[in-house]
Amino acid sequence: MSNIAEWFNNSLLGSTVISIPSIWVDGVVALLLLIGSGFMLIGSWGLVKLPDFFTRLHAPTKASTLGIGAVLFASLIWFSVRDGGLQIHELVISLFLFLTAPVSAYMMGKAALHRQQPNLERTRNVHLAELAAKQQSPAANDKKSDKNSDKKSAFHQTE
Amino acid sequence: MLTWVVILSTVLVGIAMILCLYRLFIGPDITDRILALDTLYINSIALIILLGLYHGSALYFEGALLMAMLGFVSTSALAKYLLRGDLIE
Amino acid sequence: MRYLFPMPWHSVLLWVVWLLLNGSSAGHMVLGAVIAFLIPLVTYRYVRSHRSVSKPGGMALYLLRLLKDIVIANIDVARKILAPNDKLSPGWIAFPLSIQEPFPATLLASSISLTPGTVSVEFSSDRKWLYIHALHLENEAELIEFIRRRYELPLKEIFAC
Repeated sequence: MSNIAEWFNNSLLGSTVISIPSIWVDGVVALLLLIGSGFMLIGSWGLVKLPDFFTRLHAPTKASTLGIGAVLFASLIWFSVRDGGLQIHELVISLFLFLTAPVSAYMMGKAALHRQQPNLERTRNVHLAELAAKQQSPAANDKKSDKNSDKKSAFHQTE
Repeated sequence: MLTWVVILSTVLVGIAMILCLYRLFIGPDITDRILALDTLYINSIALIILLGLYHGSALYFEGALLMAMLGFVSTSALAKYLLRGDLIE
Repeated sequence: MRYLFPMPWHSVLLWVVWLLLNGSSAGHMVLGAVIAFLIPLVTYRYVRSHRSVSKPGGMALYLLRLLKDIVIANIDVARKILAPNDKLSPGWIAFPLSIQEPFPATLLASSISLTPGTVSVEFSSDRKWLYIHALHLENEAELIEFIRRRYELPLKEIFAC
């Protein structure tokens, strides 16, 4: 906001990207934008393509979060170079998204467990999902005393 | 050149949003639909940032920030509603 | 002093975030200070105290490494999404938690969700097990050992618990 006249000109009168500071900044911003939107496209494609709910849960929490991070970083660089000084808004948004993405993934996974979403047939250790839905610990059902060996036997059942 | 890159990125994000809409329509269960909505709002944040770059205006960040917060709250509220509904049954 | 500033670090954080969002003019410094003073006075009753970081340097290092891991894991997950579905073998694992404190355990669960092709879905009710869904599960014991070494042990050290 150092130059109010320029800002006014850009935001209200200008309709396209103008006054690119240098070819390097231009290139880096373009690269980051393409990487970011590519990752978001891959994330959404995964949302459509993957076979069951729990695998679908991976696509938005990972790919889309990194995609939006790259787009926001591109925007941060571009506005910082144009206006001078560090424009921190994008950093706040991406920090917020990185904080909330695991929380919303956790809550959606929890909801899906309680609605007993079907797993893919070849998913390994499905019995653990049943235990997780009841919030039991894996060792509780087994009668043997040694916890460690119980865990191992549970893991090797499906192999 | 940057203008064209911004337009190309907007097209890519637009395709991503259409894919999310597809999942939103066919999603076999309501949890899939919530997941699609969650992805959709993240994509729309990117769309707003790209619009800000295209117009060269820093004003759009307020909207993006607002959208990020409302999106998280709505996702967690929907998930919580599902959980509580099942717990009462 | 304790009455006026029940949560001093939260006040500082609020003030800094206010300045970051609104620009650091003199007027916003005063307004932000007033807000940072008032909000903790109203909300401190509802905030449960949690264990604080005992090694800030270790925390910064952990966050940097987490950022690197996020980028690597994302490229990995993107590659798995683009590969055909037949090659995926998703699976569940139960991770034995040795951290019982709520805040470090939340950080650990979030780190797991953001990084190596895994999403933490549920805690057991006694908080000793964390159920994790992995997009591509090859070797459970190896994955558990990786998470323990890379995330759990550093967090344990940072929070001294």
